[in-house]
Amino acid sequence: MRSLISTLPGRIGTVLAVTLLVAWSLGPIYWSLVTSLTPPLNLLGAPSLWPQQITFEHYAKLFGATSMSQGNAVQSVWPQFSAALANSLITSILATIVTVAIAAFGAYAFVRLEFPGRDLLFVAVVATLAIPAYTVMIPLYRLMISLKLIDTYTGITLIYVSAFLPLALWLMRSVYQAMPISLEEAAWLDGAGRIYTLVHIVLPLSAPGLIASAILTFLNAWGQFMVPLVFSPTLATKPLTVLIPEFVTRNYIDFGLMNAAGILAIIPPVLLVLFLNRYLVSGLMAGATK
Amino acid sequence: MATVDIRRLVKRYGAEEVIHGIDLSIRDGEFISLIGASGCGKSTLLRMIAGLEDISGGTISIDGREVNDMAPKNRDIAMVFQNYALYPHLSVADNMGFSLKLRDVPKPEIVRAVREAADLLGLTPYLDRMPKALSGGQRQRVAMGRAIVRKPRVFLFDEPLSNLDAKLRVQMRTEIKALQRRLGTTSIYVTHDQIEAMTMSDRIVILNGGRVEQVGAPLDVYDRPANLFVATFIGSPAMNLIEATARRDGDRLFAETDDGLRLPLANYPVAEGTAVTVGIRPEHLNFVTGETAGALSLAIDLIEPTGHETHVFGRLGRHQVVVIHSERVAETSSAFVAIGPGGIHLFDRATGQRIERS
Repeated sequence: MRSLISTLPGRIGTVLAVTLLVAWSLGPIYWSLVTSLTPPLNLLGAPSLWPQQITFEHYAKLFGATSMSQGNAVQSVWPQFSAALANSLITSILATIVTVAIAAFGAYAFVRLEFPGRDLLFVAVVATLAIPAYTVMIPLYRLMISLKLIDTYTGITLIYVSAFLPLALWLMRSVYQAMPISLEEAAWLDGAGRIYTLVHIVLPLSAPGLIASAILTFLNAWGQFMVPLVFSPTLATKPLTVLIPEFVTRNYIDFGLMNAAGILAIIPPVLLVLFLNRYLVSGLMAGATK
Repeated sequence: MATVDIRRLVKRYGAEEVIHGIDLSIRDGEFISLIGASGCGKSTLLRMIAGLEDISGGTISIDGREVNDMAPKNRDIAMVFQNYALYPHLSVADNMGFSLKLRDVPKPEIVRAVREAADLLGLTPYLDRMPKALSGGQRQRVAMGRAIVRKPRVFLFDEPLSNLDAKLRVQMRTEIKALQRRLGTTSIYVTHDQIEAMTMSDRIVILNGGRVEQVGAPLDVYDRPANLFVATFIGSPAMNLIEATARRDGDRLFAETDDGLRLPLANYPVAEGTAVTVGIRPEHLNFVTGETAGALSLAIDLIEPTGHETHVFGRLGRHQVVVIHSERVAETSSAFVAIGPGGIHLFDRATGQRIERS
């Protein structure tokens, strides 16, 4: 009886905390979903938790060649939307691949190779995480202009890599540090060189760390707003994050369209996390040692 | 098969020297154990032979060829690690065939070599399994298989049995020894377990603080320990040590303790008054009747039956000693013991070195 009384408030507290957390995380997404399904006229009235009337006209505006808006046929935004979606995907995937590849090899060097200034160099790289992006924005802009890399995939990818590499490097370094060195020594004695050992022994066993780095980098790149706002002025490289707020016109803010596009923009990262999550298994190292 | 020659080998970590000029010649096909307490440098020495640690001074040669600057993969040696170090993402067969694959050995030949090694080690039913689906003893065998499959010149073992339970350890000990006999490959075996060293080796090397204390066949080391360190390190229970002074009474030499205990000595080249330590192995103290010549009175503190023999803890005068008796001992508080023939080892207390009979 006593234990029931003492744990009951605890249980209620837990349920309350979890509910709050879920509402906090998913509430905005739900709001966005409801807005994207509400007819434009209803959006101007009192907000409601559940759409009184469901419409797909905002999504039609994204996908169709033309669509009806307030009784008029209008040009759809599909050309812009699809280009921005492709740009988001291309820059995020490029940044992820390059970052993870450099982190995989670089972190190994920071852990297993002996060279003067190794730890100092690592601290210097990680310390760049503490520099706010806006402080380097202007010099970076000048630099990118002189390199002719404004509005190019190369330029955006390079900026993303330099921004997200320190975190990935840090993560991979701790992954390698936790790995018993005897596995690598066994491979060396078996006749493998450093690179072969890294690629065939160390990297397969570091898969969870590599995937975690990939997810972090992809999500960071996908959500970037300020960098592309400055460095992607045209649809040549402009991603969704910059395009969607542009659905604000001089006379009209298209809330429904913005939210429909936002909901669609959530899908790729969610799919990626769901897919890669399967490989985030623990216990890869089981059986290596006693 | 190969010889391994170690000349004035030194290892330094920064300013700290941990191995102080070791000399050791290992013969072709020999099974040699490096034994010592933890921190004595035995694993460091092994890792230097493997090429996993840099050499700070001196040379290591395999088959007469210096390998100081040779990468581990070019030394043609195989090592069995204490923690097995199996590749967890590869099957047993792939673990064992890894080194052959790296040498571009044709696939059918790899399969044949792996099968052969697996047969030898009783691993054939497990070839397709992953390491995590194996027991500790089986993982140990896979680690062995990985070493033997490519027929290296030298096997290195780094405390390979210390992660196994006691029963399995005894079994694997025999298996490793039998395997080494069969293959005839020069083997260097690091252990802190003197029973392993004694039972498996052709010769054992006793290390202490980065120096070699003694090298010899197991029984030679046991019968004629070169110094006090070896005397107490090898043998369990350890050798009884009694501090005394050499005295001469006419022709007769004996060791006299400060509490008046007199132990007769054979003919040793020691001067009157030399500070000595007398060592007596527990099995060389025999129970006798009080009338026997040379009988010493033993005050008994504790009797420990182990089954096949009995350990009796007691005091000769003020000196703590252990007696091993091959039969059972009834509970009692005192008895007489005599020192068996050849049961005395004499050491110079100042240098710790053994004094040989003249």
